Amino acid sequence: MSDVLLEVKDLHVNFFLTEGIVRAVNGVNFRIERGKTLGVVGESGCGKSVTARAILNMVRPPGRIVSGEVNYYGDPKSPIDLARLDPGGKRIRQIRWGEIAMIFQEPMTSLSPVHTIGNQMIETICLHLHVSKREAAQRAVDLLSRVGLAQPERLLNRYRHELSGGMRQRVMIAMALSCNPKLLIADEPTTAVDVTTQAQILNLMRDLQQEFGMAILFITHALGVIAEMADDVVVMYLGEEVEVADVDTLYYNTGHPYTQALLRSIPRHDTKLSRLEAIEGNVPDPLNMPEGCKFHPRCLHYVPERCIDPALEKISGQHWVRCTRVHEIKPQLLQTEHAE
Amino acid sequence: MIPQDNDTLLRVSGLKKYFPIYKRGVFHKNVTNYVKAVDDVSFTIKRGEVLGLVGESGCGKTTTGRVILRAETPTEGSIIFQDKEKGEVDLALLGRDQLRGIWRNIQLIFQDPYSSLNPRMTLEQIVGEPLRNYRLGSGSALQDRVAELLGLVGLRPEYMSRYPHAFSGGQRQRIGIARALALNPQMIICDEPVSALDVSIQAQILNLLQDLQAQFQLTYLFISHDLSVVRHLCDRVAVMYVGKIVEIADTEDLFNHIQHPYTAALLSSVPVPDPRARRQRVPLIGEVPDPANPPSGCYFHPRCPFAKALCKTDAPQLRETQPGHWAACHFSEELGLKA
Repeated sequence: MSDVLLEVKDLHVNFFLTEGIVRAVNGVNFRIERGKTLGVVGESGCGKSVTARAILNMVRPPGRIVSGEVNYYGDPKSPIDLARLDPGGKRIRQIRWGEIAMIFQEPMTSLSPVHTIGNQMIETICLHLHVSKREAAQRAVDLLSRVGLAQPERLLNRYRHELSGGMRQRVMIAMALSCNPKLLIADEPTTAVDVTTQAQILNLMRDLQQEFGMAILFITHALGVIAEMADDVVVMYLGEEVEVADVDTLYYNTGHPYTQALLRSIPRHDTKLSRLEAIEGNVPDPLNMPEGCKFHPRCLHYVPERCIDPALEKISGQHWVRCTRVHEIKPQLLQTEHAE
Repeated sequence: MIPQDNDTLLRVSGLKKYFPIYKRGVFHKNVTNYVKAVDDVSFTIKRGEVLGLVGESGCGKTTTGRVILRAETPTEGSIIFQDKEKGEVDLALLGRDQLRGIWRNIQLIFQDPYSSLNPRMTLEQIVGEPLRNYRLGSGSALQDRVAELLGLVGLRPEYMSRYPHAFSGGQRQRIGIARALALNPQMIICDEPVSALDVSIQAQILNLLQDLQAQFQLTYLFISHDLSVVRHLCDRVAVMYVGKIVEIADTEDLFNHIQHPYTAALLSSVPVPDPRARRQRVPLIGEVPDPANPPSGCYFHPRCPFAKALCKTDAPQLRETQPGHWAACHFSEELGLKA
């Protein structure tokens, strides 16, 4: 088990609202291996971001981790259950950013408007690595140039509003790497940037992963980005994992009707389809979740008496699917009808 | 550039929109420079055609749409529109009161379904507002029309008395589409209509837009940054970069016979939902230039992997490099580009 860096076990996160309880994360299990990339894919409201926050014990009220474990094997001999640490305590604060760093979709909100880039980076580095300010500044310059930013010395004196969206995201990545994290949690890191910038940032993340050997938890709604980045993938729907597989199996031997439908519904730039196969209906209201299988109102394979409370079932080696009819439904093979 | 015929619904030529940058003193303000948001753009849209306008943020695609709709006044250029009542009109020359008549026939669908619907209005008021504005119905006739419109976009007429907050993003976008259809427009400008929606909802809205287009022979100007969506929906595509069109062609032609290095770079940047197609891409270096201080010569030359000396000094003109395929590159024919 020495290659497992983080293990999430039966995690439940609830939001206690006046209207009722929202089970945002409802019994999620996964493992992240050292140096690998785990992709978490799902639509808005599926609980992927809450899962990420729960790993760092950063779920804000009215949300709370109600049960489950987040075992962090920073030191393989003495794992720590992050979910059990005091959210404001010293130990979790050392792990956040020091060992597990996180970058967000909108870098604008995660950079301070009133501090220079340099101040923010130097403070972080000093705090976690216990080095002098001068050494920290040198490290900041190194990292900024490593993420492909020109004139890093000048950048240290800039404020966030002086940077473009792509530059901000690079600064966030540089900051996240500043303390040599073992795990980088990237929550929709390229959703707010253009495709060419996205390609730059994805390449950068891959290169840095090879260089620093960190694991990445990559959260996104974009199936194209997951296909490019992930080694293993967790597909989430309404707080539950519906399919877990390595990336090749997920795309070429898709098991769950939801994943199958998602893959069929996206337009592709390399193929011309006459019509998209849309998934009917809407993502249900989290306060009013469907009974039984949560996907059943939108599922093409729904059979009333069969689709009751499916469990995540092992199909083959590392392929898990939450569907009672998985053995009757033909696995979907990716269509590669390249129009040339 | 393309000879005019009766099929042409909209002909934009030499369109420019410059936003002045001021230097403010205590008693004066001087124009020091211009942001050339749209810089000499020309294209035509045929009746019943879907023209895609793609490019990265800041390339001027939204401004182009806003100028055509005359939400902005163009700095230069003409926008000839074949109005079904008034015949041929140049939208660039119209005043406020004349535009009212034109807006009946050109409508807009917005990107953000949350901010584009008034939360204090019911669906009936939102979808019925254009009809009331043009005095095209009242009372039960108006209600019937609103019910019909809601039906067209796949919403139940019973929802009429509800407010937008009761609806999801995809449903709100349907409301916005119903509002745009209310006046039976000839053309709809769709400004990133699906980019704010969930993956599973995008396909629904794209299919709806496609169905409505076929049903009412609508003409779309489809503004998007998403090349996959554009390929799916559009008959022709124009690629914009720093206020200029760099390539325009029929969709299949554009995607299969790329003539401009920027289009090639854009296409190779799009992630493919296929792990076996993973490749080490050569991403574009650098960033989109500031449209107030664009580079010399070809605007793309600082980022272009094929740039030669000529590209630094001479701005390439949009020219027909293959029949029906226009590109603004000196070396289109020599490059043999692929995505």
